Amino acid sequence: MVTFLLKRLAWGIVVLLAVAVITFFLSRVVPADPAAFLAGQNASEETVQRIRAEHGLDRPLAEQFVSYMVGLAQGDLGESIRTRRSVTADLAQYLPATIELLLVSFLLYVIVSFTLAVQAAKRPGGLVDGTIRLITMVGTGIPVFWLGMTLQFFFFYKLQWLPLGARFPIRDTPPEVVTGFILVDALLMGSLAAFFAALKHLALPAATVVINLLAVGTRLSRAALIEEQGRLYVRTARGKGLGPRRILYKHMLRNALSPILTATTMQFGYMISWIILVEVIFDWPGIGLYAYQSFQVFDYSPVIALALVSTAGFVIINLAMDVLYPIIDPRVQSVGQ
Amino acid sequence: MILSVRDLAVSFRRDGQELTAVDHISFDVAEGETFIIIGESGSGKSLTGMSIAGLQPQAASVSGSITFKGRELLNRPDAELRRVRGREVGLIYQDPLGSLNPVWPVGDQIAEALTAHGLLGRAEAARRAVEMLDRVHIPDPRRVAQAYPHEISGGMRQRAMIAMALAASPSLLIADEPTTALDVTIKAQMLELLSELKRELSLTVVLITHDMGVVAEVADRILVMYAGRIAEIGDADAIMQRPSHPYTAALMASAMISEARPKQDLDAILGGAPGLGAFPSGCRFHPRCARARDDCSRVDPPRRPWGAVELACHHPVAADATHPLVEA
Amino acid sequence: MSVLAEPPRRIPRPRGVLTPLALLIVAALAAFTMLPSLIAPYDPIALAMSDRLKPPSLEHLFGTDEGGRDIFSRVVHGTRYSLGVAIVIVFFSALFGVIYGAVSGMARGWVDNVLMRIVDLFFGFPALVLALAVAAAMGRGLDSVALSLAVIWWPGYARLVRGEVLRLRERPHVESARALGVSELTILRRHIIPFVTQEVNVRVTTDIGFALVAVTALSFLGLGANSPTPEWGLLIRDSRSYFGSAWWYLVFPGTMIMLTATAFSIIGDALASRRSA
Repeated sequence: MVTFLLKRLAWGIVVLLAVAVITFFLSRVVPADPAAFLAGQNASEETVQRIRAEHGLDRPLAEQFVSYMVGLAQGDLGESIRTRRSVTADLAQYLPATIELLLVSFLLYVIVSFTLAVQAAKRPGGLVDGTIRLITMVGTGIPVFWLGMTLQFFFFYKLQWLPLGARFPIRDTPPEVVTGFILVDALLMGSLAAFFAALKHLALPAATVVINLLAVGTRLSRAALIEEQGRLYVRTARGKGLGPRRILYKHMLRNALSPILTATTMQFGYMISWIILVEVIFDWPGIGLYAYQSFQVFDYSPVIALALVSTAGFVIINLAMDVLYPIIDPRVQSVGQ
Repeated sequence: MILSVRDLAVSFRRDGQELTAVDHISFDVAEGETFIIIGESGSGKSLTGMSIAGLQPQAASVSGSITFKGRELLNRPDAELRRVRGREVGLIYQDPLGSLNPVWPVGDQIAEALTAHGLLGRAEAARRAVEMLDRVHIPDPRRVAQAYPHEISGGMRQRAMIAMALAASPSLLIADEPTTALDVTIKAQMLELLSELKRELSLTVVLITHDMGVVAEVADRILVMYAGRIAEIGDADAIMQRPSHPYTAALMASAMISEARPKQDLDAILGGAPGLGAFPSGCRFHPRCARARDDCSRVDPPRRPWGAVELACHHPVAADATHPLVEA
Repeated sequence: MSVLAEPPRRIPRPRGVLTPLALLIVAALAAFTMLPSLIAPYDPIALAMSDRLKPPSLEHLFGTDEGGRDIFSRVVHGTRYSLGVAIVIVFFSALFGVIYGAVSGMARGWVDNVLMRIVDLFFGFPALVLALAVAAAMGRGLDSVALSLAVIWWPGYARLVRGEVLRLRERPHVESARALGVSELTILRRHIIPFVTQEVNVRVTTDIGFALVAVTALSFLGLGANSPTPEWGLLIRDSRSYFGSAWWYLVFPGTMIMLTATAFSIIGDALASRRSA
């Protein structure tokens, strides 16, 4: 088991290295003149020269690569031309907002997709199943950015129920930053009003992410549940005189969890991508918006940082799943050994 | 009678057609006896057994009447059946590995049979689970209680299933092919265990099997099923000594051959049994029957008394037949 | 009837009307792509400031944008860009992925191992984020959007095809053909490619919808086409400043993306249920 996890960890590092190589390649080789790229569109030849020297772009490529990797290893992600700060410092500021949105979306996704799947699996092929299927299928076809704007249109412009964007009402003072997660900070401050204000701001962005992913999630959970329904241990449980709720939650759920988790891991990649779009639409001050605003002005280091950070997140999620599997299903452990 | 089955029919709809897998059968099971339902796969025997506990597939529709201790069980609301299942009727199944929940320790699954009916608290039930494992002669029951199904042997799993079925001390045990997945020595041990438990707990056992060898060991009475109908029913000794229905005779002959050549089975002797929806006209056994005459393909033989037993056959094996499969 | 548990029932798909409807949409899109000028009543580029932000009417079916341009005409002309690029992406990634996967599956051994490890790598990171980074590095343009998405898209095909090839080569009749001395190339052509093609067709159809959403997403972020190209994602990007007051500007281009993506996924579903084993 331990060797298996170590192998997976090693693989995670390989993935990260690969992304580091790709991003190096992207930043140093793809733009015809990285220095001009870094300097921006209207920079003078002198500035470009200065930047070239400053960033070591006049040195051989191999040497540049080594210093790039050494920098990465030390957490140096370069400098943002737009904010004039180190990208690492910027990330520290923006990352909590992204993670908060991600976690809330994820929670919502799990709850909603599972509830729908249970309803659909009760009568496969029935009316409820068909309706859920149709709704979720259309949900997948909706482009995330358009869905976000449509929700803004209804809930902000028309109904005026929910804010247009941002994490907190502009006029109010946000809770003091302790953890960076505004919901947590609001509670730490003891302000329920601030907590609900923040929750209101979270509602639309999270809903946007979730609606799009729901179809795949519901479909997979439903399939997993239907598959479990046909298993013999379910008959045994009925034979013991257990009721349907107990059979679902105590017996089937944990068995269905492994395939559902696998699907969820795959979904995480999309979730990370959609979060970026959602941050742009809802003016959500996370790393997606940060990267977006940066590449609008040809400031490229934040984009690379975004790719690296989200890959790291993805690798960590995958590792976490690898740890979870044997806990959920004891059979996995003996296979690993 | 602890169990009375009247006119039981189980059918499925497939492609707009109503296919009757169990075709209006009736039988009684007396308290304390071991009643065996024997037949090939597709005969409807398991379906009959499962219908008693209301565990037929959801797609099946069931009609007739099943009374257990004077109470009707058929087509009652699930909530009502739940009080009977596990509590008064215990069940064991043919595939113990698949029938146990793979992600739960064995002991917890046994204890659940008690806690679910509110018979015992958690701690008490856990203790009782270990006791039950001991009762079915599992060595080191404490360790096994904490093991997962995949960590113990096939024989142990079936013993654990028995422990689970009997934990809440039901009075009726329905065993659906409990020995099929096991090898010969373990099979013998399992039958011995069942007889022992039946004696000590004064159980009534309905045992479903395709294996004549099992019948010889434990049966009090036998019901022979073929293609959803009763071929022959009656006292085990009477039938074993002198099978009257050609099908029963064939089953017994196959059991003898199986002993000599273990891999042989009935199919190899008589060709395959008809599948659901492909039942022949008249007597359903006639295409495979050496004694079949014209009327067999036309007229459905009614069930009638025949010596000490009842059977459904136009031309039963005569008392003095030298070979059951040959015309007397 | 020894296994009494409920067998997983075949789920009836709500196919009846949906598939013909989806085919109709795709036919319309094909017409939009080939003959946009015949269908679109107005010039998609020329400004007409007097008609600025007009709501939908018989004259302007989808209303007009901030430059007075007919949104319906822009959407029709935009099909070529949005859907066209999506198809190009899927076509080339399928082409590359199929060859890659077939080589990997036929070669087996260490070649297969190395090739598949590379593919695994692509499933180790959030692909769209990487595509975004690539597109950003290459600079704005539909060509960089197409290339960056193709780069992350092909591994799916490689994995699919390699799995199919491995599965098919183990089949008895393929084994016996090999034993009879039929060359690997013939086996590939006769026994493997026809079946793989079925799988790939299903995947390609569904993927076109996904690729469309990805293309328009990158365009929306400002990585794709430049104004005034009537690309759908860009239309939605441009509508951001006005959609509070001009709902049509947002609604119609987005609905087009949604209809198109759903149509392709319905057809993919129908193809999937029709393929032979």
